[in-house]
Amino acid sequence: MTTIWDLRAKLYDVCEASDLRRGPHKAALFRDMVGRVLFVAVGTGVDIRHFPPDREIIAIDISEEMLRRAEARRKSYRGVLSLVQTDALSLCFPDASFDTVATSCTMCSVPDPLRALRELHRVLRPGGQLLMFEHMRSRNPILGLALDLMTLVTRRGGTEMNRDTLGNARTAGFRITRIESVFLDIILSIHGVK
Amino acid sequence: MKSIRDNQGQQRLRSIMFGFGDCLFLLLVSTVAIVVMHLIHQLGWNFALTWLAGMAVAMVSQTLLALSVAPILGSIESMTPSMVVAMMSPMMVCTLNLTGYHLSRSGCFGLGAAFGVGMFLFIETYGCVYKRSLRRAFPGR
Repeated sequence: MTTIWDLRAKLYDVCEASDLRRGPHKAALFRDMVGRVLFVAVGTGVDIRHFPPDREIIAIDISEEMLRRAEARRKSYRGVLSLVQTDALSLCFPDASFDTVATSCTMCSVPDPLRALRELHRVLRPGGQLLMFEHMRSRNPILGLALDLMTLVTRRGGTEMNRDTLGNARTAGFRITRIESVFLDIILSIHGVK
Repeated sequence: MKSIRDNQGQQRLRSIMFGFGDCLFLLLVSTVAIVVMHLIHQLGWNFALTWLAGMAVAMVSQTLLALSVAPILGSIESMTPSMVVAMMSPMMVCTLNLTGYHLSRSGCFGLGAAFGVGMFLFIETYGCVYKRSLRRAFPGR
């Protein structure tokens, strides 16, 4: 898994080049980061520019190459931002150690999204908030079918377009408090609490 | 208060611009997919081969077009609806051919425009309905 993401790091910024449309939505979501923040799967750090200033953020990724590329962006952040290499499926943090956990297009790519969300639930303090910018399968049958077909190709690169991330977050124990549509019911800004 | 109004104005402008871009893009993909299928029908191959080749070329064209506009319109935002339109619009050409109606060049462009605008209206309507359902589910936000 680590090797796949080390290789993908080389093309990551090109693949994630949807920032013109999604950037303001991400900034609006991440504005709600409070206290000690865990940001999962920082990649090459393309989302760092949307972090609000003066926060204490620990950003993790499984890939050493991604984190190496994220380092320059980390330096540009006006606050406390640390990069840590760890797996979202077995986080190296104690229980209830964060006030906010945030993700951005992460749950499409982790091998076991429910396990990853349970890990996030574990490290979040009771009453802490979950902020997710995620894409998932549409409930519309035609658009859902298109996403299923796309997954046949994208799965080879480690990305699944048709996951039920909202359902998984609820199953993991989060209470969803607000959802904002970024693109139909496919890309959503999700607020939840533990 | 003024900055909130400015922000809302900016959001509305962005929304209109992206909507315009989405519409143009869907129109382009739909027209390209129909013209591709129309041209392959002109080769006079048997129906199954024509359908397979036409669909394959239409889907490859759609993928390349979607990848090229992804930095502006977004990857999923451009890929998902255009994939639907690039599957459905060439099938319409095949259906018309089966019923004995052969499209003219202007007919191809007209049908392409109709499919593109139709898909755009569908996603806009679906988006509005979904946002309304979110407002009902999370009132006061």
